[in-house]
Amino acid sequence: MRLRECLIAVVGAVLLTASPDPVQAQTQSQAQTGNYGRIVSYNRPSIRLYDANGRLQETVPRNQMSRDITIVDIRSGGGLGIIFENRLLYVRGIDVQFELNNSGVAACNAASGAQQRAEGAMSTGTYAGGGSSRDCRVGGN
Amino acid sequence: MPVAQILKAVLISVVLTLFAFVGGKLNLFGFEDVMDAASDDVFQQITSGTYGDRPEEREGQDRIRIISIDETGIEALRQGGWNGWPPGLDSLGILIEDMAYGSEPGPRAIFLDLIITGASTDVPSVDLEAILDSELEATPAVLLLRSIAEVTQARAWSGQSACRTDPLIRLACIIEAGGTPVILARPDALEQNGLTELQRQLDNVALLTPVLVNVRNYPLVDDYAQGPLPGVYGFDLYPASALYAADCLHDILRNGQARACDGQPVFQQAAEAARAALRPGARSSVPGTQARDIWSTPVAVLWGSRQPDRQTELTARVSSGIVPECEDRMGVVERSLRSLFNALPQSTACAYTFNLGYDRIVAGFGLEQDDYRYIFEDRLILVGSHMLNSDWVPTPVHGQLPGVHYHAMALDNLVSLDSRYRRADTTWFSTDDLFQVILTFILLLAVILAVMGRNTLLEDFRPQWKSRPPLWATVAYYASLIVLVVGLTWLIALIGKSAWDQAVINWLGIMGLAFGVLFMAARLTFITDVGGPLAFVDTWTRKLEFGDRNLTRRRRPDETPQDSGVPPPPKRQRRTPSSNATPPGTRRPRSRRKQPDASS
Repeated sequence: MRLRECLIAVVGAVLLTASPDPVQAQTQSQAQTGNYGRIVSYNRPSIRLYDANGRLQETVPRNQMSRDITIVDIRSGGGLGIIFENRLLYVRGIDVQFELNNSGVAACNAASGAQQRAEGAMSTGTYAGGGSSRDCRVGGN
Repeated sequence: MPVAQILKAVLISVVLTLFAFVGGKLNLFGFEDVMDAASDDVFQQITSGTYGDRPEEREGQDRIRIISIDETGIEALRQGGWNGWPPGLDSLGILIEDMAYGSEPGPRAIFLDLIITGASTDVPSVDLEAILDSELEATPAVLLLRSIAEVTQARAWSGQSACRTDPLIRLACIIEAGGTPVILARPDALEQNGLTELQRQLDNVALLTPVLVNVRNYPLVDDYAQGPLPGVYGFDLYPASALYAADCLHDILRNGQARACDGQPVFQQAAEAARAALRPGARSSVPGTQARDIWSTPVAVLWGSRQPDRQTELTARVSSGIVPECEDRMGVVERSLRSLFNALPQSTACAYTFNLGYDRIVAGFGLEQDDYRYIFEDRLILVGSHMLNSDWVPTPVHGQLPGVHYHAMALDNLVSLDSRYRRADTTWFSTDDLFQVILTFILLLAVILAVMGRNTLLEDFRPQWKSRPPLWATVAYYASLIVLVVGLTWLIALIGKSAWDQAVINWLGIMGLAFGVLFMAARLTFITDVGGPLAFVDTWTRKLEFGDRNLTRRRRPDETPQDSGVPPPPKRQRRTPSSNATPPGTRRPRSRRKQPDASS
């Protein structure tokens, strides 16, 4: 009995440590399913990394960032999702040079009319082109 | 036409011109101001397409960029740490870094059209070194100060008291130190009693400028003649003049162009002062510049409607919406005709200055590195709100525009025209006034001579018409007069635009005066000329007794002249209206004196 209990405990412990945590499982799942392009290079000496809610998580020196890293997610508004230290984090487009599988804007859904505003005949939404980068959504996210 | 009559016409024109000038200067009920504004609006609507036609006038459009922030953009920016409007101070710091390092090399100067006041608790009251020290807690205000200090290289110049002599020298110090000038908005020093602690700290790392400006005449210098105020240095620059100064100083200090910006000595002065201030063993004081003297006259801002070169292309690439058609294909003649019949579009879809949303630049979709260089490299960057509830200003060409476009257009005038910028009329007799006086005199003289010439023509060349020209001649005559007045006004206004520093001319008022004189002088001949060929008009003219007493009422049969208060008419033979039709200051037809009309 004692040996059996010990075996069960060992197997349980192995299974517990081997299984990923829910967040990691999620990111790996996305990493496997999402491949929207790649980060080619970094424009700044240090790169800011944000979480999915736009909160700044880390500022990482450029030389610590991997090159040719896959973009696994694109947030509405332009955050480029990458896996950094097993976490899904987002970099801003201005900080990096990137290539999308489909050329940039082609990955965007059409802007909704509601996001084009009018101020007389002049409007920000009109002369800036209608909508915003928020309208760039991949897969309807 | 006899010389005496010509002299008479000249005399009348001179007197009327003087009346018009004095009347305009008295500005009764503000009428002159209203007419000036209306004239300039129409003039700019007609000529806006020509602004930027010449390569030297396009320099501003090539150099200036607006980075806008609007409601939809803020939603997008939440992905990059923004939490709404107004943004957090740390987000503003990141924004300034984005502008400064968006390309390599970066912009020449950055202006942030957002007033940063800050609470007293935002930043500790310590010196700059302590702020920049990494051991200090990184609050949002501290992060903002660090970002700006890095961009402006504040450590190199902020401690030099000579760099604080005046705003121009401060800009020169930043550029000489290798930094990019950051210009921040603040309320007018007179409205705010000094600076908040955060503003005082910002003043150590950037240049603060007042941003509340008149919507027609853009000031360049705020001269605090009443004495020193806390936080200012005798005078302040406004955003457009500060950015223009940064542009000129960049050319002098970085590119070695000693004659930059028309070689105005004030920039050389500032550059020399900055070099002296930052030299090892520098002096603690340098003489101030004369910027307040050369920029005492505001800019009467000229608006253009020409589309920026890559506006449509880049807008299409960063946008998923429909890109508006902005190209202005209308020429001056078409614009003039449309303006005459009030058929000009009230606004055009695209502003003159290239602009792109900050959120699009941050997202980077559709933008290559070459595009970032087009947006930032060597540019003068203005960052401003396009939010619906922010400051929108009326413009003559584009309808309502966000206020940052007004700063940009004033800056464009300075960059493109340098010291030849169109000056607002602030003196009692300016070049504009002189031009208006000449225009008024020429128009009045032309009108009076034309009216006099009619009678001479009838007497000397067409006596068979007996002062009653046929209808076709009447139509041709009055049409010629109208064309003469409009054409002369247009011609002189165009000369004023191209050759007279873009003078602000109240041409509507002057043309109105010319038409007034035209119809006053021709009021009797007009009735005769028009009514002559038409019998029923002649009948009614006689019934209504048009003549020199047509404004007096008829007396009752039993009423004496004393009762009516109207002097009795001189006893004379009744004449036809045509015989009364001689305008003042003209000779009566000789033939009529010799041989009265058969109807009398």
